[in-house]
Amino acid sequence: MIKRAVGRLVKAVSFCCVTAMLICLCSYMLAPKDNTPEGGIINPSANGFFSEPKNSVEIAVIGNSDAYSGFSPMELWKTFGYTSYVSAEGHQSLAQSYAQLKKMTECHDIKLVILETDEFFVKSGLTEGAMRLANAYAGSVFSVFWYHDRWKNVKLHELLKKPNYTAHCATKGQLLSNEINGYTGGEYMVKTDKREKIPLSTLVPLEMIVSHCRENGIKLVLVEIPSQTSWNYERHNAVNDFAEKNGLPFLDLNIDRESFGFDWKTDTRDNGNHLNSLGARKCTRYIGDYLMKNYKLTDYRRDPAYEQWNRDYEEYKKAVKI
Amino acid sequence: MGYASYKYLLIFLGSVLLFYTVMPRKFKWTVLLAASYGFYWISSGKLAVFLIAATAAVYLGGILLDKIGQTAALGKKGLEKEEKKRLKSLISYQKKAVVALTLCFIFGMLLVIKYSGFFANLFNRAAAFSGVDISLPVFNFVMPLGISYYTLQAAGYLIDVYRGKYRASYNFGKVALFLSFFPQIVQGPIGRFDRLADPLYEGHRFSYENVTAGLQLICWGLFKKMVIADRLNIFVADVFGNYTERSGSLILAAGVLYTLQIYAEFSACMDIVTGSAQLFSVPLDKNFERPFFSKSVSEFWRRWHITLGAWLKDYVFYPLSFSPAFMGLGRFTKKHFGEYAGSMVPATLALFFTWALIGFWHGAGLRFIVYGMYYYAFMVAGMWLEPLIARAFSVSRIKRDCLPLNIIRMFRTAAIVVGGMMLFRAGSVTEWTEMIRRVFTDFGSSEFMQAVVGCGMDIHDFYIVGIGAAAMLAVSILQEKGINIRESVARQYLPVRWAAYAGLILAIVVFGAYGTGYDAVDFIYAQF
Amino acid sequence: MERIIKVLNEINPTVNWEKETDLIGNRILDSLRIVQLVGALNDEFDIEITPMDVVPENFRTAEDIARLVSRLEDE
Repeated sequence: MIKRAVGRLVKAVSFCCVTAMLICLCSYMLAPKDNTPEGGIINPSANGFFSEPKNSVEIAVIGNSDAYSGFSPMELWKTFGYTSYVSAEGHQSLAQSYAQLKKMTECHDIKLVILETDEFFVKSGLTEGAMRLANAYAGSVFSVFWYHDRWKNVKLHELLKKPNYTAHCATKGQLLSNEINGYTGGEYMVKTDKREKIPLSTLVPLEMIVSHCRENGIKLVLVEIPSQTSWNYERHNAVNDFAEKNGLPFLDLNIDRESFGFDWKTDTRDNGNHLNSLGARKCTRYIGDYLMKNYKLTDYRRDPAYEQWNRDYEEYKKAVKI
Repeated sequence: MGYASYKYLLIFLGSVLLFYTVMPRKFKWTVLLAASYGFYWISSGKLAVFLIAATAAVYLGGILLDKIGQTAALGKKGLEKEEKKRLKSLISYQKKAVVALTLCFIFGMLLVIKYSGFFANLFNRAAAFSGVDISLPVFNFVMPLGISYYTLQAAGYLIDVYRGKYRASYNFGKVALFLSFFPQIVQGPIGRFDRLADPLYEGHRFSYENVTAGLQLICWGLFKKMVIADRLNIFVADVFGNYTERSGSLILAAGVLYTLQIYAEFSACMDIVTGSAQLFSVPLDKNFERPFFSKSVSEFWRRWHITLGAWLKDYVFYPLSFSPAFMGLGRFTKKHFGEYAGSMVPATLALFFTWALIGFWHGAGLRFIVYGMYYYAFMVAGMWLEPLIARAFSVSRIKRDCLPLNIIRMFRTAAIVVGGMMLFRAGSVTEWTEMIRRVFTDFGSSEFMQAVVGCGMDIHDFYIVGIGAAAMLAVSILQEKGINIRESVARQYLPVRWAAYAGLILAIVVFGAYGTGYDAVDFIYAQF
Repeated sequence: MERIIKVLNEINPTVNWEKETDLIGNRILDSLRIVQLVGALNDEFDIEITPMDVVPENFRTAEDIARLVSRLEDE
């Protein structure tokens, strides 16, 4: 009786293992082989860091649409000479953030992480979060759940090929926009003692990001880019509590906006939700200033190995019409 | 929480099975009851009061019937024949009153919640038409999950008790579990108390055979739902949504593919829920028996949504046909219009109400009634023409039951069903007639091949749907020949067996229409 | 029994009613025929067959039907 039960258990477990292995194999075969849009990668601009020269990026900017609209790596490069990449995705969950950070630390020598805090308050699905975390842990073994549809375009000879990343993202992950649709409403940062609760589904991966940084000697800075529609003082308080508890710096750019010349009339592209390139430049200079004063980061502007960054800046300059 | 979601399959089902397994046998049913109400709460929240109200109503009604019966049996002793008769008629009156009141209550809830908007609209339109200046407020209630299904189950239970098929249950938990059991609450199968309540209530030990068989069935259901039905949904939604710009050939294709979609999906859901129940060694009634091998419309409805048809047959069609009024009408017709007509009248009339109900059950709207009448027309035509057809065959000496003819019959039945499904999917009767018109007047077959891949599904999607449908067909043919697929796979050598199971899982993972670029599709039949 | 067969032949004269062993399973008696049959039996024997009596066990063979009729006649 017991013998039969054990036998069945062994059989069931080994079947699950075999199936899981086959799923991993499918993940490998169907994973995008390049980080260009044609390669089929989801959010190519957030994944452009794969094809930057190894260990060339030192600052990782992680977040959702607020981050890729409101932070400008090129501005940071021009003004301070720091190398950064924005790996942000629309509606990114913190589990995703963790996965992106892991990937980024694998191919770059990340010294500092700027984590945009807007996404702290976006609840995410339990199973999806769990799968994303599993992916982050075990190196995208379950990426087939996101990339399964690539069976349509994958070529037979590509199936077993290793990925070869070739994309070049000159803005380093930033979404450029010269559109101006100002916000004219009232003040949204009304001081209060109330705090919004950070949901559990984001708190778990958040703790994982914090400890990942700690273990790898990476500095972590929490930043909130100005956003009228998604930010308020209750959220500010909640993040502030979290930052204090973990001994992290928290820069809320919604407060004292005037001190760095931020203007809601000119600096947003969609009436106060996301910033445009002008707003991004102002925020980036402010953040860069803070980084220069508080951390020892290297200025690579004179380093010939980073000549490409200067060329990228020229392109950026044309695009944002400076 | 949809049956095809991770949440249901991995978290919910997994933890319920775990609790069920570790619970002592006597209390296993409480796990199922708690899980069922938990499931209900997640999707409908406070609307669970309607379910509880219906449960309480038939529970109390059943007990009342039982008590009346008992007092009658006691009081009968030592009575004269005359008095016995009087008592009997009094008892029968009381019982009828209990049943009628309870049924009014539970169907009243269904009527108000599901149909009051429709009737109010109808009334307002009629009032406006006749120039009367009254208008009723139109409430659009949020429907409690599965109300159309559990109401039928509850009514069936009470009527059976009334008929004396079995005694009423004095165990409220048992009745509550029977009506709320989570696999079948959303879209059936509509269960019967005498078959379902005991397996639910008595605890079953963990059965490896049942769990593996249940999981296999769930996987097969997921394959049909995710690979075939959800993929087809893209095309079907596109064509039905823009039918005025689509050629007749595309509309026809969409009708056929919608029929395939709804079959794949509805039967998939039945596989998933039957497999779910099998994990707990609870057998659910069969709802499908390869309906597209049917040779007539009436056979189709015996093999499609079986439990709904059986319910209506037992509780609507037969009672109506056998009622004194209908039988009397039959006698009257026999006298005046001949033997044949007389024997046909009760069934024809009863069938009318049955079909009107089937249509109306599917939804509050004119097109659903027309949907019922559509099938009714075909069925009655077949019934009344039967002697003529029989004579034609015997005169022409063509063998009636032969393979070529049967295949033609299958296609004919399928064509009628496709027509019906198009009505089912269309927004209104006018839309449906317009679609049918386009099929016959603006077929546009020349550009069909280019146009068909321009409606959301590319050529790869069609390949996969084709392969999936072929797999479904192959399985159906084998089953039609009496082969039990799961048993015959289980008899194979381990590598073959495992390859089959793992292959099915991988097919779902890789070829399923889910994730980026697809919207999650709700089960169609859950909306009733 | 003879009267039963007579009634059955009125429903469908081409069936060999006494030989058939599964009238329901072979679909000789579908729901329409059942309704016709019940009407005819009610008239012929002056009984009242109710929906409860319509279960396969009562209609599988001509003998089953005869048993049902004689039971209802006694009531």
